[in-house]
Amino acid sequence: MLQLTNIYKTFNVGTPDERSVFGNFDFYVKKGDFVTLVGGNGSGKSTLFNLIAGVLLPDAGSIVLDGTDITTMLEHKRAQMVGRIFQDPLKGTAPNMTVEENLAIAYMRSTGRSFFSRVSKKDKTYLRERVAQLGMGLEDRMGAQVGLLSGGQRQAMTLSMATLVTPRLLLLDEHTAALDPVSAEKIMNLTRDIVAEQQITTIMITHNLSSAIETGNRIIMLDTGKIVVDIAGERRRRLTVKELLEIFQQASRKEFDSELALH
Amino acid sequence: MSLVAATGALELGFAYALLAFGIYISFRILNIPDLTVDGSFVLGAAVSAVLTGSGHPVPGIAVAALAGCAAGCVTAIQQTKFGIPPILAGILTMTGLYSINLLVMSGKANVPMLGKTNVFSLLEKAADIRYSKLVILFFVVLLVFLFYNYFFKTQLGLSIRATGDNEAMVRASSIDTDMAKIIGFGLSNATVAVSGALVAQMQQSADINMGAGMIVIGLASLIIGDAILKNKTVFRGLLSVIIGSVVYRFLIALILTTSLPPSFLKLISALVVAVAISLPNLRVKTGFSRLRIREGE
Repeated sequence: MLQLTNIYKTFNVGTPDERSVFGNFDFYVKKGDFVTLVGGNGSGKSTLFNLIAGVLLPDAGSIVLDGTDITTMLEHKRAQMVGRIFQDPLKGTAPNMTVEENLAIAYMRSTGRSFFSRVSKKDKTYLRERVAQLGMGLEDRMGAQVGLLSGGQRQAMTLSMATLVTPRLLLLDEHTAALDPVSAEKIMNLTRDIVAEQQITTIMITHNLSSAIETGNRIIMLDTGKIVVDIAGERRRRLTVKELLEIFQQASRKEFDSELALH
Repeated sequence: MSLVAATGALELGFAYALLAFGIYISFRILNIPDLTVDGSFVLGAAVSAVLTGSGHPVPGIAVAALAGCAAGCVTAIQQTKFGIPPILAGILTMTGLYSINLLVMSGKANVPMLGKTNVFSLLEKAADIRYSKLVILFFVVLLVFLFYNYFFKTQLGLSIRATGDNEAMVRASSIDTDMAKIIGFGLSNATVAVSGALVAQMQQSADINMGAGMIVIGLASLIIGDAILKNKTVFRGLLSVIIGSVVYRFLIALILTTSLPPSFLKLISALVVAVAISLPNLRVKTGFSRLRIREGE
């Protein structure tokens, strides 16, 4: 499904700030997998997402999605296959446009309409139905400006827009971290429902170890550009937060020790 | 104000409403200030004057639109493909256009069209109408208004609006934001050039310096319109632009009835824009200082 092979990425090459994030990095995600990705700050989680989404180009290596080599494909072209949701609820929607207009952009674009087509009555009914499924009361506010909605509502909209037409891969970048606990819970449940229903291959970055455990079927920990923990299957099902925390600490301590040993 | 002065103000208001539409697209919808307009306005006037001079007033306006569109695309390409900051890109195109405009006008600073048939005299000849200028300008503005009101709800129009509203989101919805900006700027400057083309035929001459300060006049119309009609939707936004442009012309006509010399018009326009933009900020600041005083008590 998603195959990253031999990825190299170094920032600020040739300056004193040179920082290598990935060297000889391999990563594979099976079709239909829901991977939760944990790791400390600077572990390379966001860089990994930026490479997959096409915001950054790798220095070397290849990225293949569903048999298509997307290593150097432009970001907006890749966006037809890869949906992405950010931590900041303001990032995924246009605030001065209405709920309906926002949804229409995502919908018409991905259904390959002509440039000059407008939202039809039928489309409007469909978009309303889809939004009603979010359970956020947005179906009654189709004409409201998105800037007037709460962070939770906006993030739910972003989720809906990214999955209106099923993407081949969904990237969730701590998408509930900026929300209050109730909204975060709601969005997390919505995410699980939508991903399960449409069987979307998904990678989710999270700092919340319990949602990392409650969600998905495979957990990965990244540390300084390496996968240090990769648990799936039966072991993943029995994993507890306490265990994960221990593994987390062990893995980072090992990394820390080996770094010390080098000096 | 006399009827003649009022009719004149209304005519100019409609003619310059097209200019304001153009600036509305770059400034409000795409959220990028575009200084190309000072040049593309003259470009439209020059093209229209030359073609009217050779007996083609109607094609003159169409070709002016195409020329303006090209100028807008040049500015947008500088920004998107070559990374030149938007303001500088506009200034560069505007500066370059000065030479192009002179070239179009065969090196002369002024191209008169006295006695030549223009779109207004065409209508007068065809149908015996008294207010031919007003009628033509009204219908052109109406047409452009209806077009944009339709266009900005199509998929392409929505994409352009979203590009100005949240560029990151647009790229994530697989839309080429560079293309959206280029099309937006092309449309914007095409509309501005049509405004210049109509003004030139109205005044029966094109002048190399007639574009100076057009961006300020357009912005003044936008701001006046905004104050009269809060413009959250495209329909209301476009409508407010027309109202703003007409009101601005009536204000100018009123000022002209006083003893103030007409050369002060540009200064007054600049002041209107500066005051209108700074008012909300000043209000916030004085609000804070009042709070501080209260705390001190």
